[in-house]
Amino acid sequence: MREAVKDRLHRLGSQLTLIFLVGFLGIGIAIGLPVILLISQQSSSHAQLLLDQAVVASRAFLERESADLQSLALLISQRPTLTRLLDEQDLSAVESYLETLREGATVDLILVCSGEKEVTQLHADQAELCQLDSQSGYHALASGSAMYLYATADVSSTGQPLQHVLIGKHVASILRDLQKETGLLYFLLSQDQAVYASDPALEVSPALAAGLLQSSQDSPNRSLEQRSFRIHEHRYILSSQEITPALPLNLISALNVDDQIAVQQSLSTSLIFGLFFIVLIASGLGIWLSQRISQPIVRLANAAAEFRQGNLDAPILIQSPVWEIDQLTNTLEDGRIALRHSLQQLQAEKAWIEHLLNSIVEGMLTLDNENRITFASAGISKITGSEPDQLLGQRIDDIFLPLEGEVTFSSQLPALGQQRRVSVKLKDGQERLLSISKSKLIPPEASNSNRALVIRDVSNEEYIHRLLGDFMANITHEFRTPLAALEASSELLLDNVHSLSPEEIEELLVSLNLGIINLQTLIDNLIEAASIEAGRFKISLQPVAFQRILVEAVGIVQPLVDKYSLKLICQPVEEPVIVLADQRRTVQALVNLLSNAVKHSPENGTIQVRHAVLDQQLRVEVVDEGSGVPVGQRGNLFRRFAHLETANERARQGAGLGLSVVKEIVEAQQGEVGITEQPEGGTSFWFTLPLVHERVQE
Amino acid sequence: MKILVVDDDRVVADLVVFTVRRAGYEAVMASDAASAVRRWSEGQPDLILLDINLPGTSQLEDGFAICRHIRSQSDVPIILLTVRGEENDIVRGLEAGADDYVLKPFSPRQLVARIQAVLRRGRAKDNSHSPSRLSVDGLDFNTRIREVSLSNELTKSLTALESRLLEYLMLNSGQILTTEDLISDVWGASGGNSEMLRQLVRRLRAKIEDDSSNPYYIQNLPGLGYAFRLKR
Repeated sequence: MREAVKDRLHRLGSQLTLIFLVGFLGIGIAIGLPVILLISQQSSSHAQLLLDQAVVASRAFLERESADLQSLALLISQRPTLTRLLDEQDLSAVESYLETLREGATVDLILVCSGEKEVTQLHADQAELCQLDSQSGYHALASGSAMYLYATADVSSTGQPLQHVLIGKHVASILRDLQKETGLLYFLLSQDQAVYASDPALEVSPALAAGLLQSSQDSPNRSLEQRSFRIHEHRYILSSQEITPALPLNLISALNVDDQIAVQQSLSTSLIFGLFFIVLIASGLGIWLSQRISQPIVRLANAAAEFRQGNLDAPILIQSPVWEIDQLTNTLEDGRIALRHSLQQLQAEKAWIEHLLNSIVEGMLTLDNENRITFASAGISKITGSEPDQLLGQRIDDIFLPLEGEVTFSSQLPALGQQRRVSVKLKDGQERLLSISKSKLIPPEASNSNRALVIRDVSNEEYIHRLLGDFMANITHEFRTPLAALEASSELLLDNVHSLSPEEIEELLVSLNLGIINLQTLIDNLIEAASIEAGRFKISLQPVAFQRILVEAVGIVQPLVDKYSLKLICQPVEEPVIVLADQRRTVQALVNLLSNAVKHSPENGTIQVRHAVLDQQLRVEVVDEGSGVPVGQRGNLFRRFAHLETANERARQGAGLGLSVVKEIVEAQQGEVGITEQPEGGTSFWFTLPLVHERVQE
Repeated sequence: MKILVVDDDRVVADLVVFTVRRAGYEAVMASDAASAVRRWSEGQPDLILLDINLPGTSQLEDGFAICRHIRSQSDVPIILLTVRGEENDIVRGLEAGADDYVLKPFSPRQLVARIQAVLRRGRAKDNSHSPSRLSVDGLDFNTRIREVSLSNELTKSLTALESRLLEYLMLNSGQILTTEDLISDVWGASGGNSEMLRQLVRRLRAKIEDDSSNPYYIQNLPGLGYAFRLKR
């Protein structure tokens, strides 16, 4: 969960949005805060200025009031009517006169004192005022009922000394006038006690008075809000001044700052809201902008991730308002096209190499350290019969099993760069001879293959090789028999030349001769077989009398027939039969058949040579009284390198070259060969020769 | 002395007969497996010269089979006379119980010498006063019936060549015998070679040793020869 959040925060979009948010918020605060401070300061100092002006005005008002009172006192004192009335000591007249004056002058009291006594009785309760020394000032009545601003003036009367007029004005009414004049609220405090408030509706409690006094001492540098003093739901800023040195009186001027504070607050609020709004808009703009920038980058990143997955087919089509991203997109797209092209080329080359590998007859495979197959070509499938994919990952020792008593395949591998033949058993039980060469691989990074094996199935080669070996051995054996006759008879002749009877000498010479004939036949057959094998076998066909062929062949074979005490009966040729044949080779074919018959005849047996004209052909057959050839093996009899599959070694040897040469010679002359079992027992080997109708004159 | 000559090639057979007759022996001829066995049982020859490649029967398909058949019933000396000279064939022949092996083409002089050597050995054995029983180190050997009794109560019969080799080794037990000595005693002056001796030793070991790869009785001393229970 935390990782996911961290991951999101690391995204470009989130980071850009965050930067925009913080940036605009910072800008808003940097601009807004000073503005708010400035406005507050401005309105505070403005209020202070108003207050100061009011204070000055109120002082001037008070002084003017005092001066007015003095002037009025002087004016009244010099009134001739008053002087006269005083002189007349008509007190009731004075009183009414004074009352008239007071009403006219809008003062609260007018006294005429003589010494320390009031002359009239108009304001008897305030007579103590007459005892005041100073010409003007403030005085609170001892009863506490009232306080006056007063002024005196001496009456310059005739006879009566020390008479003066005193005019007093009620402080409360002065304050009221002051409030009317300046619009401020005023409090007069004496020794922390509220004396008067300009607004008579206000109840000034001692606690309020103490608060007023303390608040009025506040520093004018503090904000309005902070220094404002709350009186009955309104806020004021206060200033205090002593109005007379003679009395401890403080005049507190109170300026109503409700409006200023309200303005200030509404200003701050609207500023904050404005800022918030701006930040909101800016952030939205930021998000939109960052999305616009980061979206293509995110898509680029996704495209790059596709690259990594190996998907190079989807084109990268990203429109971005940012030039650099456009460039990057184009470069990436060019890279993708180039990469795909290279990849296609590589794949084509790989396919070509695989095709090459698979078309090689030899199987190739690679192994890792644990002898597991990491690659197998089609050649391996041909040997094992399993698909290459099925072989991958399998252990080589599970594919090629050892023969009984042998060690595992992997431990029979040849040394590096060497070749070796190993016999193995496949899973289906078949035995195979494999020729293996091993080479070292420098393993590619993605694989841990470290050895390559090239494997060739040489089972067939080996089979042919063995067949050839057998053939050579048999030929060698066949040579040894006539050679034995030659060596033995010649040595006997040489050793005993003086002691042998003429009959014995003849017998030995016959043996010598027979040995030579056998050897000659063998060599002829070998030469023919070799020329057939090499493709150089050619015959020269000529019309020839069959009798000549028969006589020559019988002449060659007769000593052998005699030696074996056999009887050779030839069907007489009554009229000349001309065949188209290669005489020497046809004689050879007939000799081969006759030799074969001699070898397979029982003791004292008979061999017959018969011939018959059949449909433009002469059929010649050699019939013996031997045990015959099993039906299933007759086809093999005329094949080169073929053996009769019998346990009898002699039978194998006897079926060597002779009959295959007969077949080649006869077929080259457009004839046929065959073998027929005789109803009376024995075997007939036959061949045909093409007849020539034209009689050849001998 | 009567010799049976078995060969299907009449020319060679006649020459062999001629040779043995001139050497003073009586000769009987056979050209296939069936007649060979018949002539042997009828005539009781003193020696048989036997070809390997012969027209056979279903039981006796070739010379090796004839050799084994006769050897199972008689001690008559048998010399194989054949074109097949591969080591494999020689080993098979000796295992089948042949006393000697002569390769075609052959020299009549040498053939006679080999016949005489084989016959002499047979006579020597019959006439000798050598003990009929030999016993060394838990191994009992009855030379008359060519049978060894092993320490584990098993008995095994030996071929003529094996018997000759074992007898010579046991008579000289504890001594080193050179390869040449052994060859000349077993095959005579004219026949045998070190490879044939090696094969013969191998076959004998297989019969008398518990573990022929780690032989107890017949020791090989490379470069010197062989010894029977050599005293060190």
